[in-house]
Amino acid sequence: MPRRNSELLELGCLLASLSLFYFLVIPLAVSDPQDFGLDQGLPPSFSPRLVAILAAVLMLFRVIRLLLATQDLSYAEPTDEDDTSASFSPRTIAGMAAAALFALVLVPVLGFLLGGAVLVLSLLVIMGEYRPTVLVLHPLLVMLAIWALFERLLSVRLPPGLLFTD
Amino acid sequence: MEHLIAGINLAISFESLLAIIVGVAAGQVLGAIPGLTASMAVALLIPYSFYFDPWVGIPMLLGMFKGSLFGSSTTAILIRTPGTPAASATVLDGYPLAQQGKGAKAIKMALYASVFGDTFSDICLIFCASLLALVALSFGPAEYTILIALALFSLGMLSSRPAWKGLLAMLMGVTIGIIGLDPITATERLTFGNPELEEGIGLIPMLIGFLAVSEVFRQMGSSVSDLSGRAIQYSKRPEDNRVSWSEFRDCVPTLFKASALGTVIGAMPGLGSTVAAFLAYGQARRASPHPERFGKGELQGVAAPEAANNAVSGANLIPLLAFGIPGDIAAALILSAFMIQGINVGPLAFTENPTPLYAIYTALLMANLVNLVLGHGLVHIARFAFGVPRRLLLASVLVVASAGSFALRGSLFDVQLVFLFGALGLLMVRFGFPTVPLLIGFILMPILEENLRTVLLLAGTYDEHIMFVFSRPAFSTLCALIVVGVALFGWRRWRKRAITQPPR
Repeated sequence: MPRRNSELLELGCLLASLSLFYFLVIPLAVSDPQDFGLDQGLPPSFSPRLVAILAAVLMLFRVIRLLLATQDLSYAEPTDEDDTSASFSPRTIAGMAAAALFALVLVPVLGFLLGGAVLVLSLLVIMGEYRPTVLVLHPLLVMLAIWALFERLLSVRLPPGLLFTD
Repeated sequence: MEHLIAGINLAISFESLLAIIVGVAAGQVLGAIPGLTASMAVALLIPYSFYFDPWVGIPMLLGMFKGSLFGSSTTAILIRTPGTPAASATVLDGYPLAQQGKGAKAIKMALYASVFGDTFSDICLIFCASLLALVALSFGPAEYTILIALALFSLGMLSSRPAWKGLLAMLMGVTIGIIGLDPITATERLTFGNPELEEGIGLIPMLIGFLAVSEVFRQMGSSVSDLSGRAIQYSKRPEDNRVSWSEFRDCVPTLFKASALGTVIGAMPGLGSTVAAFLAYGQARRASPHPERFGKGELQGVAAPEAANNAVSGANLIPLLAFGIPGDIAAALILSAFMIQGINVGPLAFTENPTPLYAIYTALLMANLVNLVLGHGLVHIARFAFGVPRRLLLASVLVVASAGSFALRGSLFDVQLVFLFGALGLLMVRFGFPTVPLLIGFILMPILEENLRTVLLLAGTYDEHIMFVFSRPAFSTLCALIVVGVALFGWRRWRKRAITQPPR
């Protein structure tokens, strides 16, 4: 697909999301106090509405520019290429899933230190590390270092987890 | 004169020097830990500093403050994980340099730039504290508003091609910055009833998520053989591991400009070192004859933010020492330490008992020297510490980053946000949206909104309404400077286009 078409598609999707944000999200998630006028300062919804309008103007300006262009703009103006190395490979998705599991389940239940050890272990396996000594020692050493630094030195109490809370 | 000599003697005693060395070393190590800011490092040391003599505790505190700023750039350069938010801009060119095997060169440039910026602002502090503080205090909400709006627009425009992606990313950052309670009415905005969001999104989860975690996720997609290789490769060529004199000389104009910018921003209350670093980076990129090299491993892209963010640290003390007004949290913490140790600052201190002030100046300059010496040692330690296989480092970074983001507010929600922003960051990079304008938009949003709304409130009290801003000399001068700057920029672009366009 020529760059112009793909950019138009991208802009179309973004403008649709922006309309949703302006007409649905802002009225639902920001409520202005009644009779709140300029004398009291601007209403709370002023900033999100202003940002949405600016974004819409910006994108519409680009759409018009793309539509009026006589040739594919990628020839006329330099463009940063999309970073294709930033892909969602199976290993990346597995890593993200492990991280989500850690943040949503392991830390609240097992606590940060035990949950962290499980996360390090699973990430190592996802990244192709199968040596048993490394799989055992590395998570232990990392979590020991975190415990010494945060709990002992900096007095930051890391989440103990439901299982270990009195 | 006797006050000057007495002050110098106080700061160069054996105990004071030892305190500076310990403070700088501890600061460099603590600063390298993601999530621990320079203010946190200072806050951690304050309770211990009271056990010492004032001229042991204070130099240690100042040393730690300076050391933590440089320490944070080490991890920013080597593993794309800024230890403190101030080092976020250093990632942009420091990390590409590390990927090219020039990590040691980038860290050394960061060190020299840090010491340069520090020393520059300290000299400004010594010789023109009162003057600079007066200029800074003439800046009100109107001046802040126009300055921040301009910074946001120019950084968004220049951070990507096509420019709309950078600008849109910046607006997304601004929107994330809106989440939380409205500063005037305390009404919830975009929180969807989640009490965790009432305080707003934390800066640390944003920075760590978008910069470090997204990079870990990206690298996890590499082949297994790449993942089992060394995390940081160092070039074997000596010239890739040191900063040559000619390279440093090329950076000198950038260092001066960035340090001056950092000093001015540091003297203004509320803006801080992260803003200074990003503005200096943008300025260096605009001024460079090769702006296309920025973001790909340009040494000036390391020098500018490092000089600027360190210059802020000295300049933060300008309103503190001149008027007794702390410019930011770190300065407020230092002020509290001064007060408890019985050291008076402010206009009267200059006339009544200037000895402690001269001792502080000497300690600041000594801390820069110690930072330079110990920083070289840190380069070698970092080479050893980050020479482990990549998969071991990536797994560790993810857990340390989440611990760091938890530490600041003690919120599990921040840990969850770190990973969410990591995934979002990867998605943005995949579709060519730069993440840096998003972070800048987020950082500057609260300051912009507060000032803009104050200006609009003030406008209601004047007969001229919003036009009252032009009656302020600082605002008019700033506008004139902006008009001249924009005209020059437009003229340069027009000339460049005229030269490169083939004749019809």
